[in-house]
Amino acid sequence: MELPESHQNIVHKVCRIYTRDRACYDDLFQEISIQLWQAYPKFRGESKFSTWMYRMALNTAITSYRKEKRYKHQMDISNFPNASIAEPYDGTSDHQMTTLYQAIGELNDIDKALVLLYLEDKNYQEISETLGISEVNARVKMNRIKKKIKTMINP
Amino acid sequence: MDALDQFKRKWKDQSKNFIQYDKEEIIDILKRKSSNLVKWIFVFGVLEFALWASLSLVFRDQSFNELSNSEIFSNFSIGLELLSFGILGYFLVVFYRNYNRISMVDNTQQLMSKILKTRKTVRLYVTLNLLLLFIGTFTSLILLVNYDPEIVATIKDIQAMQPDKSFYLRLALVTIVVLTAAAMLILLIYWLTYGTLLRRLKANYKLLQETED
Repeated sequence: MELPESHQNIVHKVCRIYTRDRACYDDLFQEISIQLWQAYPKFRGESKFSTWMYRMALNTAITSYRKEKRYKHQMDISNFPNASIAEPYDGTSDHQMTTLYQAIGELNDIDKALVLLYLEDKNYQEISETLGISEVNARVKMNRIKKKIKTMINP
Repeated sequence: MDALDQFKRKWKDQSKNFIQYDKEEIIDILKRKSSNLVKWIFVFGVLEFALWASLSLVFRDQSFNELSNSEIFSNFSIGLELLSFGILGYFLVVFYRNYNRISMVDNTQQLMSKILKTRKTVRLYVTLNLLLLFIGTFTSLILLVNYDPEIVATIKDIQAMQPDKSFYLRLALVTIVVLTAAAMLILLIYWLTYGTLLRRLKANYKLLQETED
């Protein structure tokens, strides 16, 4: 199975929000790739390939066992694969993205999944179907997360 | 527009900064060892079934062949053995069926529920085995003390020399202490292995369920 660029990015984004250092990032990237590769022959095209990928990647991230140190506010940004930004945004934007990642990093695993799907412009029906919660609850939860992130970014 | 919405465009733009692996690199990644939780649940489950099944085999064989000549004890041993294998067969089928139902394409809540259900099958099997161990040991002791000619004679000799009414009480106490210590040890091993392995999954499952409450 070949992963086109747009699909590899889905895996990268999931790894980026669920891990705090390079080693864990690589492990999770590998684990998601293996899961995708194993499940791909069973993909019947009932849903969009990207939807299927979000589900696989998020499920792997949420259910996998990861041996991570518990350290807060110490995400080592320089160690991530996308850190050596070739053409950076203007300094402010780059800093803003770092702050956003740090804020997302403070959320629990389920809230991280909600934020990711929201940032990826998925509608609430798709979010609720991916996580197995009702649409109303997904909406309520997302509003709470938005407020939480807002406080974290602009304390 | 709130803070998070303002990030949406930047969020999409960042994609060009991610490393893109080519086909050969992806193949390399796939060759590495998987550390998937579901796989470990399956491996641990199979190992546990094998361990407990062989433990009961060794235990019952020894009891049956070496411990006593009493017929009632032999019948009890055979009954217990048949029961153990019946339980093992049933749980193996349920375990394999539950494992087969796990699919990473399910929604997150369903997936976690299925993983926990598969794990629960093994836990129930081990709990039943521990219960059988307790009941089996106690009943064996009672049968041996009352029906095994050699043991009955030995007890009579002991009681003749040292008439002590609390003999049975002490015997029961020692058995309880030994079995409880064994059970505690097993629970500690479980807590260290499954506890660590499933901590994150259980916490996330609880979070999702709380959302729905």
